[in-house]
Amino acid sequence: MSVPILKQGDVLIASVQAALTDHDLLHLKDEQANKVGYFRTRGVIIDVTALDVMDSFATRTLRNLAAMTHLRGAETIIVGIQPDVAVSLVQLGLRLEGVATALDLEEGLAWLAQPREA
Amino acid sequence: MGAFHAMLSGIAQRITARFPDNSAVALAHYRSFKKVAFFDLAIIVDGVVADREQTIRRQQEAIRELSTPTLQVRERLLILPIIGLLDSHRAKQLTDTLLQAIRAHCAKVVVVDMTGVSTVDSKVANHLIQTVEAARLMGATAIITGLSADVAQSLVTLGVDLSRLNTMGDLQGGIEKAEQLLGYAERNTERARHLAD
Repeated sequence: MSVPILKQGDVLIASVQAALTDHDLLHLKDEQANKVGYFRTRGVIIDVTALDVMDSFATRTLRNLAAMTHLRGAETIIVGIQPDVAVSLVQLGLRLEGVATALDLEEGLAWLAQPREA
Repeated sequence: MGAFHAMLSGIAQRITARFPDNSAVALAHYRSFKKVAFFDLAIIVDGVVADREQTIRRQQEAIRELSTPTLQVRERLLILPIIGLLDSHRAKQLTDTLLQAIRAHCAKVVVVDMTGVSTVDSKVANHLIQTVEAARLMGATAIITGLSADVAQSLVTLGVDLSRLNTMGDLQGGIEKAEQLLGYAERNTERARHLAD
């Protein structure tokens, strides 16, 4: 199942609806990378509210995605990590360093709307 | 138990008195009676133990619920006072409570106050770090306050890397820092200065 990527102003929102296979994740990464350049996006939000499992591959892919987006001049924020997922990620030692996180989509949009020094 | 034993021996005497010439029959009677009596005893003991266990379980539950309250002091600011001994079971429960509360209150900053904790071992310290990381993954900042001198010293001696933690001296400092993070103006200190004059 591929992830729909919605455009809202100059923000791209990828809303993950169900558990993703590794293939889906890579597809998401590629598509996101293309769209960031295509739409001149300023921010990317990845909404993982619906996910109740995140493995190391997903985490690494999301981190790579964030780094890649940064290189293309946009910022990435991951929103909606569930409590259980947060605990298991930390216990697995997957800390998502360098990636911003927020409670929900609204928070993520607010975070991207904040002015910040480059 | 003593009364039960006395009753049994009394009954045994009566049975032997009734069958004075045939001890084998008396013994058989006594045995079958004893079986019933011990069955009764087992049921009583089971009942008492089950009742007591249920009470203990209920009390443990109550203690567990009492032990980690989450208080909302401002919109999006939670306080989590920890009092008493932190073992790994309670630390895990603390993580769960904290994360659920972040979700329920849409918290942005959480102040974990450890003034009431007298000892922290490396396992619990690690768990604390994990809790802070998990809170970050949920978009909240955790501030640890009120680490006592003993705890601080033992943590440093243990070599636990606490550089990732956001720590403040006392609860007041923690709340002030949290308000700063939430963007409240520092009007309180102004007023405090005014009151002090």
